[in-house]
Amino acid sequence: MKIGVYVCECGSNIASTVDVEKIVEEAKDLPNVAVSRVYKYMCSDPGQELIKSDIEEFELDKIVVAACSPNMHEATFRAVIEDKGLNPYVLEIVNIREHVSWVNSDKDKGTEKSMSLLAGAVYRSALMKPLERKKVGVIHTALVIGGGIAGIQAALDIASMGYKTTLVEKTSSIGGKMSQLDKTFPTLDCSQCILSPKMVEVNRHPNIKLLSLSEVVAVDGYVGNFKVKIKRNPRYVIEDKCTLCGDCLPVCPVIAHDEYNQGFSPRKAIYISYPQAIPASFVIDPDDCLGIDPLICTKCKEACGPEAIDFDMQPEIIEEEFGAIVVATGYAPYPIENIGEYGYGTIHNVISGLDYERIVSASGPTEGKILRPSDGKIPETVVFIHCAGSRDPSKHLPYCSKICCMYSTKHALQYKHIVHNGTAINFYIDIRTAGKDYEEFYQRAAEEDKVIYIRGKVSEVLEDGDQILVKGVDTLSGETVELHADMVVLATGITPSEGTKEMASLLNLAVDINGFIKEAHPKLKPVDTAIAGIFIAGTATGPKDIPDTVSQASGAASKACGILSQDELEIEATVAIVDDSLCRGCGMCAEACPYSAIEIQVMDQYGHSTKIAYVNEALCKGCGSCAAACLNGAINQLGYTDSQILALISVLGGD
Amino acid sequence: MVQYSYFPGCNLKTNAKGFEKSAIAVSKQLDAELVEIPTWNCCGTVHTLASDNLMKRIAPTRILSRSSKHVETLEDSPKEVVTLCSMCNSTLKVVNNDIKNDESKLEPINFQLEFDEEEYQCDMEVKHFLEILRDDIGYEKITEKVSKPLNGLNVSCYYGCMLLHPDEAKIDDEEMPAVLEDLSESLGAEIIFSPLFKYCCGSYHIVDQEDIVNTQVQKIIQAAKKSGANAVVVACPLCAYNLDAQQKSMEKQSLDKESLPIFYFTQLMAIAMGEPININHFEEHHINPEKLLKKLKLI
Amino acid sequence: MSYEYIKIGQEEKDFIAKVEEISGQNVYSCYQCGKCSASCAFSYKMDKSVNQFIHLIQLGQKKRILDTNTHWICASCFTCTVRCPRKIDVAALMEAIREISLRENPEKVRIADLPKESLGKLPNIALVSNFRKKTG
Repeated sequence: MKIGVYVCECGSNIASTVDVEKIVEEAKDLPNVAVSRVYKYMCSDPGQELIKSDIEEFELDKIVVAACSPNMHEATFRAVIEDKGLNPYVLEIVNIREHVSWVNSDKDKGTEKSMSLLAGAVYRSALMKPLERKKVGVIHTALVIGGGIAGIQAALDIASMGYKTTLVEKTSSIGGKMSQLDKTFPTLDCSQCILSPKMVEVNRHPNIKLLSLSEVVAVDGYVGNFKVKIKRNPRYVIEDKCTLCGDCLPVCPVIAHDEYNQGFSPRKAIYISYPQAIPASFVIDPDDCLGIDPLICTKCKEACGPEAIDFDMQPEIIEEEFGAIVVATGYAPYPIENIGEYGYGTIHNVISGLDYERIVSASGPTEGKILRPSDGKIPETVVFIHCAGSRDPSKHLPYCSKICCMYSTKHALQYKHIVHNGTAINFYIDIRTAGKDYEEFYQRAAEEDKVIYIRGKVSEVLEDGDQILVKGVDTLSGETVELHADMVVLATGITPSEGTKEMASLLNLAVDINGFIKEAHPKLKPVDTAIAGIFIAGTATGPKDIPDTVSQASGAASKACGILSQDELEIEATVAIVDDSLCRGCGMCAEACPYSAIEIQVMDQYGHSTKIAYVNEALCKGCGSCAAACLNGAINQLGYTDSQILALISVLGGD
Repeated sequence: MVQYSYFPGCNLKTNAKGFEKSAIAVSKQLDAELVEIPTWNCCGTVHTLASDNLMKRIAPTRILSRSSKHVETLEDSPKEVVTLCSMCNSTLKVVNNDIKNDESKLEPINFQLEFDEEEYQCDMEVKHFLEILRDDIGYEKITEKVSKPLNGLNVSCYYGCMLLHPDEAKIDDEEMPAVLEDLSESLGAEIIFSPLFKYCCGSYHIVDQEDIVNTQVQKIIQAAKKSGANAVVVACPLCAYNLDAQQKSMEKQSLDKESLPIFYFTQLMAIAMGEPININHFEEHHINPEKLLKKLKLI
Repeated sequence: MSYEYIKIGQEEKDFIAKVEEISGQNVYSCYQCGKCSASCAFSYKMDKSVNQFIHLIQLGQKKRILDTNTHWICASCFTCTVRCPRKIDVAALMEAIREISLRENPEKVRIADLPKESLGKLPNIALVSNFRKKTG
């Protein structure tokens, strides 16, 4: 056995608090060490070349590098030694920068600690063995959960790269919240106009299978090989036969609140959310319809020419396999019913941002005229309250939802376009216009459309006759402001949707304190999750506007294709292995595993059925929790076995 | 008969006798008798907010500890001290909450009380009489006892601050409270919503800065009148005094003789439940409510 | 030549520390949204609104603060505390300034100067709470 030891000075980063020359000299006396060198920047090309030439010259078979954290350059050095024919797992990195140099200023103590760590590493290195990276096959289809703009974009991107994609959407039409918006900032593009072409493309794309009224109910497996159960809820209308003729509408006797119009207008039990809905078919709401179990009314069925209505449809569960999953389950707006000082949602003319979008939309309950919900009159004074229930750690959402300043400005601007003599007042704390052309949009609203901005948070709104008393303040002049408004629009923030919460718990995804799905790294891995093969996009991970959502969706699609484009995937070799003879099937390792990678299986051994732990190597991340938990020492982590770690400890202990 | 340990506070014995007498009478009718703690001291409202001065917390703690002993002599009584005055309620609740959660505050206070063997064991809860009516007795029982429904009385419920603030002391939701409204409805009165139902009356500024109270009362009464009320019901003796006395002095200054009489909620209960009229001590009010009551044929 | 300027030095830092000690609140949590001023029923009478007052505390300006009338107009109704989105007990900050003022000059209200007949007819709790807040 020949071990090569390399100590990095890292400029003055390490060399100023560790006597690198000394430890290199002392290392030469350690057992099995064939060469011991120091270099200024080990990770640089000449540094790497040094290791490579030494491997050849001295026939080294183990390498120890004392430098910065393995997080930084373990992969670099593994590639270096692999290049020279060595197994990448006979490399040991000793961290003498973050663990010694950066936390200590005494050079003697630093040198002593480094020597001790280096010696321990050399002894451990002697016990390290080459490891094989296993391979798993990959199924070349993708699953996109959620049919909003994020899901639509991700599905289109993956499909256009040539892979079959299944898009699962919970409601009867794709489009999500964006289909409910009227115009989008800062361009004031009509939301439906820019969304429908994408929706139509999803419908006709040969690589996309659209499953509407469907939910993911179970996910098993691992990257490249996910087995998913999808529940298809019945539409009660046969999609292919419905021609959208609308003959069923006049005869249906049931009237319900239209969810698409935020409850402001009626719909029948058989309906289509909006004319551009995809799939282009009507749907029956089983809670409202009188024809579904028990069969009382069949008027729509009788009126339907193409015979598209089928009251006997049942939910079914289908099972499919996918190589990668993109979660794009979207958001829900913060409910105004939670905000006490703004009326708990009981005051008719105090509405939320999404409610206002429907009122101002030409396809909405008022056909685009701005009318008050209570009496249908045109409001002369409208107050827009920013940060309603946001930036409020005491009772509501503690964070800023990024888009509300912009959409409130947009709302005020739209109001002034339609009601020329009206007064629009925006009460704000800060105006956040961080995107492209956003600041100019805000300037336009103030300069051209004469929207009044008052800096101060409104403390309460109260009903006073048929107007609303708004009590605010102008912090810039120090005066309180009290005025009567005809309508108040609350700019509410973004919270994770029901679907996001469900998917997070189903897929075991980490969520942050506010319920949004956590990325693998907040800066550098915005579309990955801790689970290989599952990617995220859109507002399921946090508040963002449409350009960011679309970017993230394309990013997630590209990452997903990174998996789908391969025929085999390599799994990290440092996984856990079970010694059958020592395992007693107690299950503590399975409980300790944060990735659900261990199963207790019943196996037949010597005529007895015994319980033995089984590790799914594709799911195992090599964290070592199971090895620590095992009382018998039956489960070990390759590359960090108990004997290796004990060797390290005995050297550090002074043996 | 369930008995509750009752802490009156100084005002109920002087300016607000009607509040107390009517409360005790109706409490007896509802099988929830209020029995006064034998010896008590002023609670020292408004409670101190300074976290470095424990002296001002001794008086309320003594009340809690004396009530704890008192409860043992009563029949069927829960470990609760009941107040009628909103300010006492707020003070006692906040101090109770404060020292229960903080051992370092309780010890020095108990050290002071040790001399008279009155250490507080942190075993009491503080309740306002409105909470007892809502939670323990229930509005149905009250309606059963109503012999004279208050028809024609359009009452605006004024909460003031101390019933709803701060969070440790509130007896109902601070933005949309319903306890006074539900009670008035159960007595047969008509409820009028006024947007200034908890706009501070001016409280202790009545002593040296009367003009502040004047402006507040003007706004509150105007809002109530605009909404159609002909009476105001309150739960705090200071609010009652401020609204009452200031309207009287406003009457003298302006031509507006249409003042609204101020009732304590227990007085309304007493009238509705058929108690003799003199226990309400209407003679102490500045705006005489008897005029309105006679007009509505309630007395 | 004298001109007003905001000075932020050790004196100011000590003042802020004292206010934080008495009130138990972190005065830097305030992001000046102004909801306290909007909720305050008496802000029309204060020469510096509640949020401006808190801002002056954040800058440690003891003299400017004690010269205002804000803390004496405050009626301790707690509406500001209940409404603050950062969960700051604003009423406690007002009390802290009152305490600091009263510990130096205990008699904001001179009881001897009050007219005798009013002492008789005013309700007890008015007198008790007034003297609580305005005397040392």
